[in-house]
Amino acid sequence: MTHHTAQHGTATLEKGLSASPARVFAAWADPDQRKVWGSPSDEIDMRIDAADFTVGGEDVTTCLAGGEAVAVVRGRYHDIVPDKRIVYTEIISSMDALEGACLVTAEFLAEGAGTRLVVTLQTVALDGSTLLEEAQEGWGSALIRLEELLQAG
Amino acid sequence: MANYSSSDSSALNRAFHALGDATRRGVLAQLALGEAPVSKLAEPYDMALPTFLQHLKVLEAGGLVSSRKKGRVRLCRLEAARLAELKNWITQYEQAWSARLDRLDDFLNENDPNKDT
Repeated sequence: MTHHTAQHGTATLEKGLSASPARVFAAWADPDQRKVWGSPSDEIDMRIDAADFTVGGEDVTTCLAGGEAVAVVRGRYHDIVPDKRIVYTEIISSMDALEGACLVTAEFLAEGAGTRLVVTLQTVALDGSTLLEEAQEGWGSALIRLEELLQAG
Repeated sequence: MANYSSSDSSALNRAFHALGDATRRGVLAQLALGEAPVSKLAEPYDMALPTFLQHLKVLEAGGLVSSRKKGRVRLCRLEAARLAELKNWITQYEQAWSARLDRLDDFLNENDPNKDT
């Protein structure tokens, strides 16, 4: 059964970092650094299949859980202002379907010696996507079981 | 879905944190069957009551469980709306981003060129 739905969300995440804007920016720009912090958890490894940090350039990253590919993220850069701002889109697919897309704006604001990092996520999720349920530390499946219980009750 | 600020995303972080433990998920599964007193919820677990109450506190802080007093008994119930929110793809995507930013912070601190080691 296919539901053709598109759901939208906007969120702003802010984080104060002690590193300078130049160092924080470099951690985004350099695929070797991004590979380390870019996974949402220790359970998920990132495989960088392509990295082109230029305006119009494309990144392709495969998310691996237990060595198995669970998702592919394609990023395309639209605006790069060194040490200040990155605007790009992420297209998130599971192994068999497009899950969603996100316009990501990362702003690197100097704050004392450190950085105030402001990340704005403008997201569309398509067709009742379920990508992260399986990928996140086991609680995804716990949620599915709970929902089954709730529907049965 | 409504816009929300980072203060809400930390409430969501608490909710996801609450789910990260087998005992707490077990309590939610019990509550999925209906409202229940604390004593009955604690029964299946071989742990001291204060420890169990800590788990309940984490679930309440995450907005997954609410409780009310009825006479001398404390009754707990599942907050299904919060659970449904956590199951939402956008919520999970944003949560993954929030986790990544925490890891970015750790990564930068561990690789600080100015830090004496």
